[in-house]
Amino acid sequence: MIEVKNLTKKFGSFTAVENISFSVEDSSVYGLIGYNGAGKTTLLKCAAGIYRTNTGKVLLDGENSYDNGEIRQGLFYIPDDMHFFTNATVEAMARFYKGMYKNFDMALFEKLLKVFSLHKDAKLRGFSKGMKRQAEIIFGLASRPKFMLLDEVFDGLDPQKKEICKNLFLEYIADSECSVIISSHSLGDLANLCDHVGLINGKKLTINCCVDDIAVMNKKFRVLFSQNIPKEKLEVLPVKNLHVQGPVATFHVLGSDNLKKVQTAMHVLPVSEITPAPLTLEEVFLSEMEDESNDLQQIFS
Amino acid sequence: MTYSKSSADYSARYDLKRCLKSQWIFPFVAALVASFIIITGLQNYFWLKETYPDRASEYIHILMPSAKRVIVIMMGYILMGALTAVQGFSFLTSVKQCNVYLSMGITRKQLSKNRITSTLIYLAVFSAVPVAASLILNAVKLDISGELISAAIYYFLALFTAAVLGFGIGSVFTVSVGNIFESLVFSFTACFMPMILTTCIETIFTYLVNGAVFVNANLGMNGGFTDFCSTLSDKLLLFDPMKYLEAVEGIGTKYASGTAERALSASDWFPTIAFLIIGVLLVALTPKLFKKRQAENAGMFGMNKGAVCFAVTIIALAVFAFSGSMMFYWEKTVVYALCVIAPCLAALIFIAIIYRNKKDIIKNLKIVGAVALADILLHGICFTGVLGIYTHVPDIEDIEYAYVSPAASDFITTFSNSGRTEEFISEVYGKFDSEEDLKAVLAIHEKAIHNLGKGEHNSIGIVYKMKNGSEIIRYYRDVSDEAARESLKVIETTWYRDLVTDLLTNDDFDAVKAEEELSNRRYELSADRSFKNAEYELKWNIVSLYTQYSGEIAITNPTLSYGLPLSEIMTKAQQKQLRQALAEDITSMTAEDMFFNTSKPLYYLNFYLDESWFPESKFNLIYLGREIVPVYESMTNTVNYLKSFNLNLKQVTPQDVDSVQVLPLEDRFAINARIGDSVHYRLDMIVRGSYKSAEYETGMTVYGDGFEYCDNITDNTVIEKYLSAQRALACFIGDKGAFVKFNLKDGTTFVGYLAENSLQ
Repeated sequence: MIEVKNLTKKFGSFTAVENISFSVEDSSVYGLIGYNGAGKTTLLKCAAGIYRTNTGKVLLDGENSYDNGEIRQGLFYIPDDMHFFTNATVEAMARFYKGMYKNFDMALFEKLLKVFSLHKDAKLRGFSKGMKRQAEIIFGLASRPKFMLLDEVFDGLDPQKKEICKNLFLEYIADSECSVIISSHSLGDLANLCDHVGLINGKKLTINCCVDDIAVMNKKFRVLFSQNIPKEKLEVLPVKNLHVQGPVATFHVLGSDNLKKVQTAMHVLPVSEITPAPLTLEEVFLSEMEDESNDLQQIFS
Repeated sequence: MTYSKSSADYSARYDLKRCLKSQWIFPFVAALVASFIIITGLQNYFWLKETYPDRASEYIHILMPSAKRVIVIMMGYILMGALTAVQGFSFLTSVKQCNVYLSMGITRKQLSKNRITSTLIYLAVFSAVPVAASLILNAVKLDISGELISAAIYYFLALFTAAVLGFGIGSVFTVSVGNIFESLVFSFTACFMPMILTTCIETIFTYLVNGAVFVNANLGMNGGFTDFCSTLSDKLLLFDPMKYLEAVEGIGTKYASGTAERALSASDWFPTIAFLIIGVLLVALTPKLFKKRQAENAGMFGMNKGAVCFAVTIIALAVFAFSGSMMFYWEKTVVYALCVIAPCLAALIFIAIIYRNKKDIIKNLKIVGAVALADILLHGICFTGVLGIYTHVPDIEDIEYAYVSPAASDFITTFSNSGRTEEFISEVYGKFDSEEDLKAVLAIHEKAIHNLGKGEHNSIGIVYKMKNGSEIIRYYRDVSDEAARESLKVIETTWYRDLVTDLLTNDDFDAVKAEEELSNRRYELSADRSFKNAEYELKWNIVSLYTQYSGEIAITNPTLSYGLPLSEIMTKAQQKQLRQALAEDITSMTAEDMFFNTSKPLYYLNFYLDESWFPESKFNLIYLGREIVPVYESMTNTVNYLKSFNLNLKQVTPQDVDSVQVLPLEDRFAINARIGDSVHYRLDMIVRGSYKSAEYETGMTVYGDGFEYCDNITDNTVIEKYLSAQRALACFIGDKGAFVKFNLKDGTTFVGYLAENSLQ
């Protein structure tokens, strides 16, 4: 189990993430989403024990991950920007990981090479970005970790390899009770893979819930009013992406509390028809980011 | 899966193996180069011994070839240690590598421990290699003894210490900064810091303080440029891990005569142990700093403000020291300005390199401001002469003895591939321990203080050994003529007169033995070692001046053109009586008589020196000595004694002269001694100056005498006039006038001096 408790990380006077808390159960995948520069990588590096937190901590099965050699034997971190030794072959890197991870499984490594059609004698510096990513995933899985931290792990993979990776992760997690935190911009991938998601916005974790609950707690509505209704009357409600055209209004509502508020408000408004629909993860993300969007029509004028 | 300590140990062991595979490279290269330097140095000696058996001393064993080579090796080992540290901890400067190493199942402590352990093993092994190489060479070519092995252990420890120190420095900086560039620059700067600091202090007190206290500069000795006495730079030597072994030069060396060049003493171990402790402490500090390191600093510049300030300070000091050393070449005001501006500029450039963007550079300009302030403060100290220390004159009751190096009083010629160089250096006189002599020394000292900076080119050095065991060393540059003349009164002291008498009249004085003793005692370790050496050096100088070393003295006519060996006209007993008379005359001369005599000598006495230094003479003399003593009419004892012999020295007549050539003094390119308007050209230089280009035995060419471009004057009236007016040089003369070369019909030549009023 991975527990992040009240984690704050600053770089000088700049606060990257503030007071973040969540947990990842065994055999569970936690998806971390946020805009570029939100703090996902920072959070993962704190969890990996690379960064020392300013306040709070990350516990792996109850033990602090920072500078803890024993517990980190079971942790594998795949960063966004990978490192391989100069001129190393796949096999050479595997030997390195075998030396650093006692549980490294060479037989599994060989099997995974075949799955991804990679050659162990090939030099990594000649690999494409996607191939390097595959190699890193192979190293990670072959190390048989208890905890995996994956930063943009699907970046660069073609759809087929992506699907293979997802299935491999799911198989491995089910088999090993591994806890995984994965960050990605591919929300569709995360939605299929993750049990839980967390959204970092404005240095804080603004959404932290089950993927299943996303649909329950976040909805979009199409409302037909019996008369034209001014937009200002609806703007006071806790809604996002509000569009009003005549008597028709569409909007998103995020969170169960807000849902209750909106539902209560609808009772006093001249509603003819109200059609709810679940929001996808992407829609939730975009709705959450709504305030940061610019008026693109004005950019080039 | 469980993750236990054994899992963590597993990866720690693997990491250690990887370190052992990679950390050997720089130590190996350093050992290779060091072994090469030592072996070639020793081989050079063996070759020299075989080729010139008379020249090389016979050694029973010799561990290290020379101090200069050892300094290079020490420098290499310290830098090698730093490089190895940078290599080992360089992963911290890479974001990508940090992601790998710091997320794995190995603690920071273990990561640093592995790198330290593997490196120390290699440092120990490869510190032994060059020393072992020397021992093997000694075993094969010479001999081995307990002394040699003790010295070998000492040098091994010194090399290991140097490497550990460098490693400690490199480790501390690499784990504290963000990138390789800073790691290397800061580490290397720190390695050179002691040298830079000591050089800076030396610069301040040698060049910038008016009345260089504590140090000597230019106090040379005839026949060699060994420093006269223990100076600040000598004392500071022990604080420089690159150079301190210079103080133990000679250990492990033993002569065939049975004496050791320099024995190892307990105090010799102190610097090595001290530096080793510092190195170990730095190494021990590294894991603690590593633990505190923020991984997000990887790849960043200027993250460690302390390190930046440190590097800026040292670089500024180095530039300051270099600027100050220009004092001998450029105008004082220019140099002082340079000393202020250059360090600030260097600091600014360094800040710009580190921070690179305008905003950060401006933010850190306060560092440059601090440099400027410190600079100005240093200059303040310099201008006050270190708050007046240089004006202190000790009380005579507190002085045990003293030495004086008067204004330029001796002349040497050196040959090199670029030609012949002549320069005046200062001899060292002493030791003065009688009350009368000490009063004379104090008078010289007072004159120097009150006439400082009022002249050019004249320098006076004084060293006091106090009764309480301390030393006072002063060196006064650019004193006035008055002070320079006062300093020459050292020849009026009891010590000097007793020495001259001893050397001229004591048949038991053995010059060969004296030289041998000097060589053997060269590196004696005592507070007085340099003083004792000076005493022997000076005796040797005077021996070379008035020696019986080769047994021959020649007496020549005033034109130095014809002469006789005394052995042709006097018995040994008679020669001794002549020397007795000479001693009486010399010891009653004043400095004015000796150095500023304007009368024309009746004869010259030429004392034989090592003939191999001089080209073959065309003169009708057996040898020309390096020192030529004029016999003036006022030297009544000598003159009267010589009158009893039929010298029958051939005098040159105008009929003997074919032509003359005149070379104005100011055209003479030789460096010369000056006191005021008086210039001192040594006789032998003039004589040698008349030789044509001759191949020196080592293959270097002696350049012409300057007369090649002078017209030949054949007018008999002029020849007669010049022949009558000319004199050979022995003293300080005016700076007008000319050299005149007489080309005789028999093919010989001689050179004399003509005062300005004698010139046509």
